[in-house]
Amino acid sequence: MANAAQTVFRGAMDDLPTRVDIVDKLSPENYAREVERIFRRAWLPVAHLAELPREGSYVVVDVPTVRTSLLVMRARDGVVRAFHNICRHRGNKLVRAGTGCRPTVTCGFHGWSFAPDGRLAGVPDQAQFKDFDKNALGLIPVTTEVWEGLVFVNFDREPRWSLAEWLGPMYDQFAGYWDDKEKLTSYQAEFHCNWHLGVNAFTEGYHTLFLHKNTVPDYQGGRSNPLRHRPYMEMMQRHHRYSAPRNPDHKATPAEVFAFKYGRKLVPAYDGDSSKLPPGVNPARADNWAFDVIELFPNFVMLNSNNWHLGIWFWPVDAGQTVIRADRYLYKAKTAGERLGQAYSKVRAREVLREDLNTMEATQAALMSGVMRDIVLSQQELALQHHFKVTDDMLRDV
Amino acid sequence: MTARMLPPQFSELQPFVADWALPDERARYEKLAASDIPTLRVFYDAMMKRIDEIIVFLDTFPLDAMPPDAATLFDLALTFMETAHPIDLNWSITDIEDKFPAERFNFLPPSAPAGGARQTS
Repeated sequence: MANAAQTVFRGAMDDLPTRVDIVDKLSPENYAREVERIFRRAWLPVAHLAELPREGSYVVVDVPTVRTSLLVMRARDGVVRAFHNICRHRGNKLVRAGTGCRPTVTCGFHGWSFAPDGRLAGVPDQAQFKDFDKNALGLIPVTTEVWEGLVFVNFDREPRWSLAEWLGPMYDQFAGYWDDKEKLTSYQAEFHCNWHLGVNAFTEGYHTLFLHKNTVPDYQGGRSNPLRHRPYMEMMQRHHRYSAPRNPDHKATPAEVFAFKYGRKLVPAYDGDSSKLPPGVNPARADNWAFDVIELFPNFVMLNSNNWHLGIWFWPVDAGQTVIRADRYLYKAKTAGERLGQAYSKVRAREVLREDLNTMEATQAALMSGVMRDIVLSQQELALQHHFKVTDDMLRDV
Repeated sequence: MTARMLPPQFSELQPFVADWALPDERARYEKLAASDIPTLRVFYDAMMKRIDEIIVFLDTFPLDAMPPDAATLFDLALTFMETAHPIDLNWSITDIEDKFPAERFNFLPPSAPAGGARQTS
């Protein structure tokens, strides 16, 4: 078991950069290379299976990074497929937005309709088209695979790795973990910052003592770990994860006492018992465990705990603009007492999120001055070192 | 418009219903941001006196099938839980400065799909 005050490091620790040329990383030239060599080659999570429960269920996912919109659908054969959300007639966006369930989806422009398996189902006044081959005009597919309820796509013509290879050792470690929860909140906003700064803001705990001193003053660390060292950090080939330390001396504030009295402990408290969770959660079985942070390179950060999990997407729009989407799932409430605890925790966590989100635009603006070339990274920020190493590896086509 | 009524045993909280029995996160956040600490404290103190009994009472009903007066009490209690933190944490203002402005958030309903970048409808 890992000691709370000393970090146990595991994995690919060589060649991790303690200084990173951030001016280069934020440049439009670098961004263009990242789109081609990272975002067009990586496996990217885009949707939850939970949003596609039936035949005909669909979800629209805009992906500005590769300038497309996806239509993810579940067909009669039960298979979930992603297609480019573009009508094969004259290129209109087929489904504007959102989610729903229909036997076919119909373009609002000229009424062309497509089946959930992508086939062109109906063309009004079809006889007016000469030499028309309906079979050749189905929706343009995108390689799609599902892992533990997360739908992934890959924009490469021929993906270089299977999803199992891409995910590596985590592939078999999370059986059932993401089942059985309900989505409680979903926030989305556009930010004037580069996607690297977004991901970086959520993949270290060093900031928590300072940035969150007003919102969650004693939620991590405690007397035996005052500097809140992560008990465990693991660097895999592309992804990384670490565990955050619960504060065993956390004192519940007055309303918090009642928030969790008739339900389960949630942020700013933690139920640290991971004994019934699959091996990928609290992988080192650290004492005083709060939650894990996993970066699925390049742009998806998961926070996994007992009773809740959070998924955060960072969709680059350009070198200085990113869309961020945060979805929080909690255990399904069965009583008012449980629902009230969820409400208390949801808002506390939202306020922490707002503090995290508030650093990125200010940092971007300051770095755009060009006066400072390098950022310096500590051992507790190893995830950032690893993030930039993996970025460089993919840019060099390693 | 008929006023939403609370169960009779919580009648001293009836004056708070119009302003504080709010239906969703966005409405509760906006109420919090528009209130000052003294106003919030009046609501907080009144609710803290009864919150234990309130939860015990509400737990006797199925979550999806509460009678109207219990549902009103539930909205009041949910708003309490979503606005208690400034008093719990001894803040001097109800929304700490230097945080990302929540007005720029798109508070999507829980049924909104995962992942997608620009949901313009």
